[in-house]
Amino acid sequence: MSEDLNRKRRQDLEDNTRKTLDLIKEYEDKRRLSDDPKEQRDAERQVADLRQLLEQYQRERDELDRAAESTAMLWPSTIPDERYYPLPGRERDLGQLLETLQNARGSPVVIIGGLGGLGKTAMAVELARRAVREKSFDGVVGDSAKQEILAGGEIVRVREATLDFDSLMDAIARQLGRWEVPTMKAEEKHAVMTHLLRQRRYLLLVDNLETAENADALVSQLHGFLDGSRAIITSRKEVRHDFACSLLLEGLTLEDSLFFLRMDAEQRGVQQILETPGEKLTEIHEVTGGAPLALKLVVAQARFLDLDPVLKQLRQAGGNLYSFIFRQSWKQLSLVSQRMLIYIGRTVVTTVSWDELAGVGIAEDEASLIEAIDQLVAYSLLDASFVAGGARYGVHPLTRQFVNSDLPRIWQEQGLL
Amino acid sequence: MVLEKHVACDWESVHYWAAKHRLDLARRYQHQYERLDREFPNLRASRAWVESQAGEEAAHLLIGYVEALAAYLRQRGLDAELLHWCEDALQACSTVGQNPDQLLLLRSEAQIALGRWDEAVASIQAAVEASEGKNPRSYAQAVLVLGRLQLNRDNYKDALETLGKAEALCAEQSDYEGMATVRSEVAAYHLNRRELDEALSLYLEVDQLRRQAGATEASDNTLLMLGVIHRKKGDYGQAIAYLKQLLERGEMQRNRGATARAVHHLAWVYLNQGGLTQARRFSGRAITLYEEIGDTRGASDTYEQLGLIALAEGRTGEAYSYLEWSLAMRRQLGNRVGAASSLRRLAIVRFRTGHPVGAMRDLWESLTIYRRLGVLSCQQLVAILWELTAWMIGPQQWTV
Repeated sequence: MSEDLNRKRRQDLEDNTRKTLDLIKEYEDKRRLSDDPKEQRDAERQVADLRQLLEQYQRERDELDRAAESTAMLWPSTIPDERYYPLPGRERDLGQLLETLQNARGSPVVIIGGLGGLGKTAMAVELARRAVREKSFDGVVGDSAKQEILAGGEIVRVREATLDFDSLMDAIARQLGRWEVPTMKAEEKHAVMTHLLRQRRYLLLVDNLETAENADALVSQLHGFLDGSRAIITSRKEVRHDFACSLLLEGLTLEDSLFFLRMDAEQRGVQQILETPGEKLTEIHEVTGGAPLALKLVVAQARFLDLDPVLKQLRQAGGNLYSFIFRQSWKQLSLVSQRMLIYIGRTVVTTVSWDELAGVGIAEDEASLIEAIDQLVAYSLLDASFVAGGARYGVHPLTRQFVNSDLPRIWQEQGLL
Repeated sequence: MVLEKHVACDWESVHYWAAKHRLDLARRYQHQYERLDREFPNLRASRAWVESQAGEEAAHLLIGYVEALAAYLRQRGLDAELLHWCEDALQACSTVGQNPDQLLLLRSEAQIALGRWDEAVASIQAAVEASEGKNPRSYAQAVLVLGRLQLNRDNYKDALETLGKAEALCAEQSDYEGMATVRSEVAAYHLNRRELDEALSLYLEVDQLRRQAGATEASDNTLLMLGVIHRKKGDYGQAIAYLKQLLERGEMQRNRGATARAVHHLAWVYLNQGGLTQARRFSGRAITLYEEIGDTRGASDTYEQLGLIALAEGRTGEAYSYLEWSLAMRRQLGNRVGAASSLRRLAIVRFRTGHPVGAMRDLWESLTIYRRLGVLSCQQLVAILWELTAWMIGPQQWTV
């Protein structure tokens, strides 16, 4: 397929996705507001069909992405490729930010702020990908200010110094193959970089700005360099500048939460959630504050537990929401699943191979091991990924925290440790 | 509760299971570096856990980790980490009463790579003592590493004698790889003396020896040295061909050390040809890589190179800073030939900036060092004077 056709197909898919999301919302409202059971059932059927359509669009988009990415794209190796879930509210935000970036008179710097775990990096990465796919920019360059990063496969590299403007320029120069720039004196380096960034339209991506030295000054200096290029920055701390367009990510909106809950329940086949009336789903949204991970964990529990007692106890959890959810899930796990979670939570830094899990003696045979993996994935306690050489398994940092902090405390209370 | 009790029992033992099983994995995949890249964060964490344990089993595990992963750590430029692992494993050897000769050799290699030469001498001497009369193969290797270090430290007379002894020991063991390494070192000696034809024929001999022993392609070192010799002979096309072959291999195998050496020497080729932008680009990449892998010697060589590039660009202030920096690093490393080289380049900068007295002083100091080391051959002296003259009449031939 030619590049133009590819672009047109992608545009069509994105338009269709937006239209489908609107239709789903319409039918869901109809179902919620109607008193007629037949009408409710019809609306439900329509929503189910539309969701299937949405999944098909997503699959097609993924295929197009893979095809596009197979042709070399300039992309900073230090920025993680986090998965983005299209949700109506997030899509609207994304659309607006994309317009800002594409508008010659729009803000040259886009800042995505918010607490950890709300999907800042995933959104920034998706925004950058879309901007490049639409040929608004020639490539993405940038760096992550995080101290620990993954590079060269999975080697954890600890940065010697925190990110400052000079080292950001050096990192960008290296990505552009201009290895001579870091050897230059500051003034000359700045002149060369200004020229480089003005020669072509680049998208500068700076992740985790909060860990950079003097973040405000860095953003100001960056602004002075951009000209036709643009910058996307993610930060936990608030960064305000007149020239920047800021989006503060919070928990998902009610609309997005409901959408997320139904989408996740459908993917996992959690009938209880799919049959739950809107009010109860709204309650889940309220109790979890719309945090995507918490929503996911509740959906996972609803596969095995009755939603009412789960919600009742979640309301009592207060600030210990995650600890509470994990504890609840932990009790449901088989012995092999518990052992596997302890093994991964305590000893695995990044991910672990099937070979290792099978050989280390967690389970007596492969069948029990597969069963345990299935259970942990179903409870959203284990992430599986596939790389050359086979499947690898890892856990979310909050799950690791539960294993290493909460479990020993619980066991100490019970006199087991 | 019963279930919880079972699982709580696993709480402490999981680290032990992991450490033991991961060592098996490391042994199984010790030649598959891409696979080890994926496992390495976990391997490193498990080894660190073992380090905090006492007893014979922990000692065996610590030794096992170094033995299984030393080649990987060296290939990935993680010499500082290897050194740390060796220190722990050597302590473990005394716990279990194992001969530490191989570990001492590994430690010396990491120390040499990190430019910690005084410490490396001590390690090699200990390896010689530990292996003499007990393990002929280790003894031959220790003598060879000692000869190489003597050569690196410009102790040429002793080095040639030691290398001769090493070659005889390797021949006794039918160790063709060892014999090839000895001849490479002797070739490097001739290269330092600018005896290019002798060096070239020795490197070709080394290549043949390795191929006889089963190698299907030239080693990284052979490619590098053939590139260097052809550059010095002024055959730039051939030099670029060898060095680019090394660069491609280094990039493909993600071997940062080989990549750094290839781009560093490519920078020399372009500098010789007057391609200053290309030279600075390659040199910039080399310094990034050398600093990443903690290769101080490589970094000091590259700072000298950057000094000459700056000089060729007419930036004498920048040239002076880079050369001073390189001189200070080389003095700290005890690299006397390197220091002499930095000094004679500093002399050029001083001449160019109108400081003839300082220039003469640096040049004199440089020549004195060369003479004391016994490497001031006629060819070398002519080349140094030619370089100086070239700079007085214009930047044409910057490197020797």
